[in-house]
Amino acid sequence: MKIRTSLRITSAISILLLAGAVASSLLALRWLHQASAFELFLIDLQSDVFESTQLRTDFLLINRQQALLRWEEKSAEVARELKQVSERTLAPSGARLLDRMNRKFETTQVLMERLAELKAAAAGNEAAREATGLIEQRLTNQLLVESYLLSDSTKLLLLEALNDTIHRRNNLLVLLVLCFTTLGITVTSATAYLNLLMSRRISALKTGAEILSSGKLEHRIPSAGDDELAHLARDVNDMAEKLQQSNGLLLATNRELEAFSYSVSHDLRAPLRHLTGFVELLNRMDSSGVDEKSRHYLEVISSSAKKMGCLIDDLLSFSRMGRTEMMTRKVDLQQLAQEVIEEVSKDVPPGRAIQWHLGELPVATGDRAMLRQALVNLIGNAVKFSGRSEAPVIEVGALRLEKGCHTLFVRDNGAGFNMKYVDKLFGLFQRLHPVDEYDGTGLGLANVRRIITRHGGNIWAKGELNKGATFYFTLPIGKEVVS
Amino acid sequence: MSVDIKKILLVEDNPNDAELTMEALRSANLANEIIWLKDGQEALDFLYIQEAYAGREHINPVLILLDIKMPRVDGFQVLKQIKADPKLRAIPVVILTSSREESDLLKGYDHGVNAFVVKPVNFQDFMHSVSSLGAFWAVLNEAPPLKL
Repeated sequence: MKIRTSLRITSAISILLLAGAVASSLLALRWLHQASAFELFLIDLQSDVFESTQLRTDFLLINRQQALLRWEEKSAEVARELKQVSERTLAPSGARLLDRMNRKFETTQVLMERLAELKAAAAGNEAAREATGLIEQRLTNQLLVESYLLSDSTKLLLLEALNDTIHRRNNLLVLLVLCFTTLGITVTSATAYLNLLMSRRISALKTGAEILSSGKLEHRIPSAGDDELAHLARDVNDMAEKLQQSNGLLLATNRELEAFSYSVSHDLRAPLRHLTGFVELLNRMDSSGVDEKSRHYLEVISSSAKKMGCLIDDLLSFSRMGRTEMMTRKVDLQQLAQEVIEEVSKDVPPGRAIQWHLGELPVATGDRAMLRQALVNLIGNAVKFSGRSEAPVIEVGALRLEKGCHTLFVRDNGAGFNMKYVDKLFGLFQRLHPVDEYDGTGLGLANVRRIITRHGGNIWAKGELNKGATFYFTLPIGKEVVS
Repeated sequence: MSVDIKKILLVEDNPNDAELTMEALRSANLANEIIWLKDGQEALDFLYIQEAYAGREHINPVLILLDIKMPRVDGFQVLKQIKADPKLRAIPVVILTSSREESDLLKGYDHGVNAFVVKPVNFQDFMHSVSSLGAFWAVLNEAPPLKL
């Protein structure tokens, strides 16, 4: 509202001033042009007057009839020109000169006519010529004087015109300087005004936005006023407020989930313990009277309770994996893989010799604990599903670096799986083997996938029944950030 | 002439858990007197020889097995009080609980617990843990002087 109006007003004023400056400059130029045109005209007049004087002299001295005719033509021209001059508005001095010029001209005309008459009358008449000789002389002298005065006046008028032109030109220069100075001042003040109006607040907005985006959502941008910038500041503040609120909500939800997990961990385990405990006590009681079937039933109860315990643990850790903050650092995958292989090997019964192949693994960026868990699951699975193989070979390596991410794999030559069920592999609680063949809760791979996804990578698998399976996963190369 | 009966104090609100623990202790042949109290307040009353337990002999137990989640006064409060009292803090306290939450671990050790044992779901393991515990604290370990 206000800023847009100010800008529009400023533009309008500037355009108007510029138009005004241009218009007055054009007018002034025309004005100047008029003056110099007049100048030229007067020069013409002057030369005509001079010519007419020449012709007159020609006639009077040599008495050429041609000259008289031409003089008449020239005089008519001069008369026309004088008329044109009188059509212009002149200064009082100019008007006086013109007046004088007109009178002198008339007089010269009259005198010339008289002389022409006399000459004509005296032509061929010696006696008449002598009689008119004196009058001719007198007239001629008078004519000369009048003619001179005419020339002189013409010259003076021309000088005046010249002066006028110079004067006008100077005025024009002054006008131009004034116009453009005014324009300059206006533009400068307008800019200064707009600068004052906006720059401080724009920079407050910019700084404010930077502070907010750096994570300090408590910051508020000063938003006094009613123009667009003030509204913008208020909107940004509202946004920050909402973000703060939803952040708060998220934190609260997380805390609730945490409390929930704690409760699950504590309260669900107690009845489980009682189940197994009392079944065990039953077993220890006098079992001579207990038959095979009853013993079997008790065994099932006991193992089910145990199984439930594992499930609870796995679920808890799976849930935690989705919520814990990631501590993103540089992780030496080579060292980590070595560590995990050593740990997993400890649980392998000494009879089974697993051939380990550990390739060159890169240094990635991620959460060490989470990546460790993923490797434990993948390598642990490889060991588990090689349980029935004669010569188990487990390979952990990295493929060639491509497109800005590391691609790693864990390969075994154990039980493998049918590619038909590849989509079920990573599902929650999904298993491809019955529990009596291979133990497990169906959470391990789901957990791995969650970890890899949180790191921004992908995981997929290829397998063949009884030939083995390979699990590939990618980890993007990223900057070191603690999120 | 009184025979030195080594008392083990078991503070546990759940009767099933209590029964299992006592069975395990008995099967480990720990010929001790096992005193079972159901919550923290009772435990404190017992130790301070007050309220319902006023008038009992002034003999401290050689081991306190403490659960965490209990009504009225919970395990941590009991632990805190015991370890803050110069007359009682020498008694070994073992937290025997179902949760392995890191926050509980930290809190326990912060208050000066002697040992933190998580009750395994598998009863075999549980029996093993309890009997080891009992064997160590009540038999092998040189207990502090019994008299106040």
